[in-house]
Amino acid sequence: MMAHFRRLPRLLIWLGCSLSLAPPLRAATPLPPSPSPHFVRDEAHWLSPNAFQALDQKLETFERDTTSQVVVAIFPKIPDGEELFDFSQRLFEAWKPGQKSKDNGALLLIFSAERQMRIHTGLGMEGVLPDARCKQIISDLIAPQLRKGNREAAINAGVDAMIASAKGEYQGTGKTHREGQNGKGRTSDGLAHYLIPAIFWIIVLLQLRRALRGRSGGGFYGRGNGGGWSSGGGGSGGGSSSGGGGFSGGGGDSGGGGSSGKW
Amino acid sequence: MRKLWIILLGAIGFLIVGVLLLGLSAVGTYNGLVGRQQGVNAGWAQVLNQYQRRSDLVPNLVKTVEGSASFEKSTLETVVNARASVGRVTIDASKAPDDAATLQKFQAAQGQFSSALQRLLVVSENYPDLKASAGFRDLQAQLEGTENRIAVERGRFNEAVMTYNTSIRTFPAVLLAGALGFIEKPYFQSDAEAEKAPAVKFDFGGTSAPAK
Repeated sequence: MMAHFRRLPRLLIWLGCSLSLAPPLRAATPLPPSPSPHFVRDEAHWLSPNAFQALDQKLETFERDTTSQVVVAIFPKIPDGEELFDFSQRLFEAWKPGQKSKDNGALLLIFSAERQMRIHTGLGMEGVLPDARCKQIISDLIAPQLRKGNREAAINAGVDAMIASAKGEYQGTGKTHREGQNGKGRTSDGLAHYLIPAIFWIIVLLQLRRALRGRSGGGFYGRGNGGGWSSGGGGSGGGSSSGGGGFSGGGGDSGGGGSSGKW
Repeated sequence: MRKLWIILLGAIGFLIVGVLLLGLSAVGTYNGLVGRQQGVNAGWAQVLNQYQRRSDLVPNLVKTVEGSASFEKSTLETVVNARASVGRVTIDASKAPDDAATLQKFQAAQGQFSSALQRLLVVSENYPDLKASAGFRDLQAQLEGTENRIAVERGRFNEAVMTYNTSIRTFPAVLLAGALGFIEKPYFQSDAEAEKAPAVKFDFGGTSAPAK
């Protein structure tokens, strides 16, 4: 009789854990890591070290002035099996440029082999960089320079125009988010999402087990419940679990705004 | 004798714990389901917003295109008609549809509108003066942007539906979901599938045009 009872908790543990730990579904071809703490990722080696540095500096100053993050990425080609827009959107979701509550980030993406580019805006940038403005920047400022082969000038012209459009919308703090963040531990929503139910289940089941063994059935409710939630809050123990390594502002969301173009 | 008492007490304790646990988890389960259902409805509202935004572009598009001399009237008319028939599909904006047929009808109408717009953009390639005008280029950028936003919001809606549908089929919610009125929600299909769907063919013979 007792043996039967004893097997039950193990079954419940298995059941509880497998239910609360089922991972969210998401197709995943690996994405390139974000350039953070830099603002430029130049896989296609278009920029000289000096140009890279100057551009990076410009974008960092822009964040200090406005908190907005504009990120430039130059790829040799669109990864196999990917499509321009979907890839940009996924990249945006992984890199998370912009500040969490403002979604004020934008990507300027260049794909060398396909001669394609895209400006991808966060929700908070759609006002200052509407799709039509992005299209203008692409086809009037960037594409003509690229056709002439002036790569550095093309990217600078595009970035300058994006900065000029976006200036004044958000007030800066004089520091980048990263500088303001130094020393603070970051907690991860993702981890807490798993940890709290897991801890809850484990504690419930441990209590259940004890209740069965020690026959202290009545005591379970008060202790088990209180203990479960207060240490459930310990989700903060975890470090960062974001695989892609996004920007520290952590959470620019994009609804897919922006525009694409060719040269 | 003592041993029997112990076993009996143990059994009663186990029962009490079981009932409490069930009650607790039922409340938690119910709250979780409500939250996920809200997520689905919020996603639905976002999808409709973006579709609305696309419809709102049409008057401007008509004005711009009509300004261009000799633009094919029929292409423009198709767009205007498709937009009108989208408006005739009545759909609840506050709540994601419960049955697949409603969603499919809505999607088919929107799909027709999509392809009418696409055709217009293709045809416009033959009109250099139109293509060169800044107004038309801006509209084109807005249309493309809106199509992308629709795709994003549809994807997010489908994800929310998947989370919700999974949760009502998972133990222990599966025991309660039906009784509490939580039913599975339909997904957006890929447009290729939707176009194959024969959902909106009301051809009763005669001269009536097929429903758009």
